[in-house]
Amino acid sequence: MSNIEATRVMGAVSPSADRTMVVPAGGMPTQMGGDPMRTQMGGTTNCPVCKSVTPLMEPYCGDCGFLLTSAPPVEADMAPQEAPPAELIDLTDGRKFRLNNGVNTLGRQGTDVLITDATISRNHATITLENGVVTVEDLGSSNGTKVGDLRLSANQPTTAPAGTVLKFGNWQARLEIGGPDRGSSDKTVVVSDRTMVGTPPTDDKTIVGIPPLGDAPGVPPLPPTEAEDAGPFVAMLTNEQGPSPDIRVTTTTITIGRRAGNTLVFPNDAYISGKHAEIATDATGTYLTDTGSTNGTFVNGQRLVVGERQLLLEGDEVQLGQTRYRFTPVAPVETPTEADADVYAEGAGLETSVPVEAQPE
Amino acid sequence: MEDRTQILGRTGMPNAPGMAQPTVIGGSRTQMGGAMGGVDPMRTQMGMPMQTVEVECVPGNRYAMAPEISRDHALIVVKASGQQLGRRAPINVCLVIDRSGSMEGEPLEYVKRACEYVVDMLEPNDILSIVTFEEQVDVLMPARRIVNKALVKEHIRRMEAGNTTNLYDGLVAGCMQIQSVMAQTPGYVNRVLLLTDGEPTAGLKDFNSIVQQVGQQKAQGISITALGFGSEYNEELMAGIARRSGGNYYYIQRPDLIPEVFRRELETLMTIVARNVRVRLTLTRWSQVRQVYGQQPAFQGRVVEIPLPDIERGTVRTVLAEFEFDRRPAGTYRVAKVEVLYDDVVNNRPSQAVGDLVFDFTTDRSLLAAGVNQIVRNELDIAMASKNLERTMMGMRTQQLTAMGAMQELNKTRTVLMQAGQAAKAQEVTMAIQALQSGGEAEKTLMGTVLNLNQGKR
Repeated sequence: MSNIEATRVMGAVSPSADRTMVVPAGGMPTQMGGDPMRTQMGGTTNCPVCKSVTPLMEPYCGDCGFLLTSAPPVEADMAPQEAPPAELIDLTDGRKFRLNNGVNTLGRQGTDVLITDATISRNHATITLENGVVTVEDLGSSNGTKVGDLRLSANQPTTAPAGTVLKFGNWQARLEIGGPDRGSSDKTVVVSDRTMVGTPPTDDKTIVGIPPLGDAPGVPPLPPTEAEDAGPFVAMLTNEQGPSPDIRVTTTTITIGRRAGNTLVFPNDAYISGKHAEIATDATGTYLTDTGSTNGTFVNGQRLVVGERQLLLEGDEVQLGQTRYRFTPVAPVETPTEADADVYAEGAGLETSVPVEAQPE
Repeated sequence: MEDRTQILGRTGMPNAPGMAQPTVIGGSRTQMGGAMGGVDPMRTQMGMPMQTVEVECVPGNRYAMAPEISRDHALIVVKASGQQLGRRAPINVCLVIDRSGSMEGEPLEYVKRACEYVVDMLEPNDILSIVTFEEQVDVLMPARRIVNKALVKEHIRRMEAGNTTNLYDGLVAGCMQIQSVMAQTPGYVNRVLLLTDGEPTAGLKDFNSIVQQVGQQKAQGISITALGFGSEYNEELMAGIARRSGGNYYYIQRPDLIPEVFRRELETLMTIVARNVRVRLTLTRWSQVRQVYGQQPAFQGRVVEIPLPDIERGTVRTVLAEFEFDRRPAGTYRVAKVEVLYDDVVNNRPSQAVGDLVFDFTTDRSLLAAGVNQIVRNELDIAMASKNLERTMMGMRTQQLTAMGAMQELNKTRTVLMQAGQAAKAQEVTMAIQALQSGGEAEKTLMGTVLNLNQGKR
C-alpha cells in the first residue's frame, strides 16, 4: 500500500475534518510520527496534487507545498489554474505579474500590478486586455510610460503587441499575451527558429516561460519544447550565445540531438551530434550526460566523459554544440502544462492569440 | 531613569524623548510573544539548544479560497531571545563627527562630552575610532582598543570647528577605519555613528551617491546610525542612510541631548545579538509575493529576500508581506518556506531559524471569517499608518497639505497607532503635531517614526 493511501485510510471521512487535524502555522504535522514509512531515510514520494517528487522526510511537497501527510484533495483532477491571459515579466528579476481580462491598474500603491519602485507613481498606468489585445494608458505619471521606444502622452491609450518591452518609470517588463498550452500531441518537438510562424513584429528576442538572463543579441525565441507528458518544469538552460533555443528542463528525461527521435531536435547546429546528450532530473538534482557526441558536451569549460552523469548547479555554463547555456534551477509559477505553444504555433498575431480558458477537467 | 528625563528636559511630557526612539524596549514584545504562543515546545523537547533568534510565521487568515485567485497577508515575526546567553558581542565603532562652522560653540562642546561618554562606556575588548570632517577629513583617533582613556579624551578635547560639511568623505573615512581592523575582529558589531547638523556642502553631495556608498558599506558588514542635530540637516538623507544600512536614525533637537543620544545608541549596540539578518522566503508553486510593507525585497525566481537591521536582545522585528495565490485543489499547503539567516554574534557563528508559512485552501467560504488573525490585522493597520505618515510628509513638502490639514492627518494616524498598541510611535506623532502647532519641524521626528515602523521594530 502506498504511503498516500495509508494516510487516506487513516484520515477521517470528510476531507475538511481531516484538515483540521493539522496545525497550520509552523510545527510538524501531527500524523508524521504515526507513519513508519515517512520516517525511513531515503526514498521519495509523489505529490498527489502536482505529481512532483519529494524526499520522504519532507512534510511538504517541495514544488507546490501540499502537506503530504494530509488526505489528497478530492478534486485532485481539477485543473489547478488557468494560465494568465497575459503577463508582465520583469526584465531584471523575472518576476511575473498577471494581467486579467479588462482593466488592470499599475502603480505603487494598491493597484492590480503592484510595483514598489520609487520611479513608479501611485497610480501610474492602466493596461487593458480585451480579446487578446493589450492597450496601455499612462495616467499622468511623474516618470512616464513607454511602449517599446514610444513614450506615451498621458491618457492616450496605445496598443502594445506581445513581446513588447514596456517601461514604467525606470521599471521595465516584457509583455506576454496568450493562454496555456492545451497539450501538444507530439512527443518529439522539432525546434528550429524557422518554425516560428507569426512571431510578433517587434519581438526579436522573446523567451517565453523564463526571464532572459540578459539581453543577448540574436537569442532566438523559445519554441515549444515541452512534450505532452513532461513532468513539472524544474530548471532552465538559458541560451547565452548560439543558435539553439532555450531548454526547459522537466522531471522527464530529455534527450538532445540533431536526429529525429530525440526529445529535443536541434537540426540547425552542425556541431550537435545525432545523439548528443541527455538531461535527467531526480530528487537529488538535474544531471547532464553526454550520450556519445562528437564535439563534446561541456560544463563550465570541462568536457564531460561520455556516459558519466554530471550534476548541474545554479549558474553552471553548459556548452552544447555551438550554443552556450546558463543553468538556472527554477520552478514555475504557472501550470506544468503551460508551454506557450499556442503563441508560436498559431502565431501571436493580435487576432489569433485569444486568451485560453481554464483547462477542462 | 529619572535623571534621563531631566536631561531631556521636557517637563510637560515625562515620557516624550527629544528624539526618535531607536527601538521600543519591552512592552509590545510580551504582547506579541504571549499572543502567539511563545516558544515552540517541539523544539525544546528535542533537546536543541535555545536559539538566539526564532521565527514565527502567521497567516493573515488561516483559510484561503482554493478555487479562486486570492490575496492574503502573512506576518513573519523574528524574535531575539530576551535572555543573556553569553557575553555581549564586542563592538567596533567609529564616531564620525561634523565639525563644520555651524557646530561651533555649544554643539561641539556637547559632542566632545558625548565622545568622552562613549570612551567611558567601552570595555577593553571594544574598538573605537574617531573621524571628524569639515572641508577636509581628519582621523582624530585610528581604530584601536582603548588603553589610556585619559589620553583619548585629551585628543577629543582638541576638536575645533572648521568650515564646510564634507559628509561623504567623512563617512568613507569612518568606514575605512572600521574596515582596517575587521580582519582581526570577526564577530564584532561594526557601526558608524554619523553626526551632522547640516546639508553636505563639500565633496559628493547628492543623495544617490551617498546612499549608494552606504549600500556598499552595508555589504561589507558596516551599518551606519544617522544622528541629525538641529533644524538644518537633511532628514531625508539621514533617514535614507539609516534605512539603507540597517542602522538607526535619531533627531536631536538640542545640543544638550547629544551625549544622551550617544549613550543610548551605544547601549543599543551593546545588546545586539544578531547581525547581517535576512529573511528568505522560498515560495512554492502557485504562490507569489506582491509586496513587503516598507521594504524593497530582492526577488530571484522563487526566492524573495528581505534584509533586516541588526537585532538586539529581547526585541522583535516583523515583516509583513502580501501574497497572491493561484487557484489550486483544496488542501493544506506550505506557501513559503521561511528562513531567517543571521550571524549570531554572541556565539560568533552563522546561524538560522526556519519556519513554514502554511495556509488551508478551502472551498468553504464560510470558514474565512473565522480564520482571520487579529495580530496580522493589527500589523496591517500599523503598515497603513506608516504609509499615511509618509503621505502626510510628502503633502507637507509639496505644500499640498496645509499645516492644518497635516495636523488632521497626523491625528488620525496617531489614533490608529494607539489602537494598534504602538503607544511609543503614537507619542512621536503627538510630538510632531506639537511641533507643527509651534511652527516647528515635524518631519525630522516623523522620518524616524516611519523608518522604525518600516524596519519592523515593534
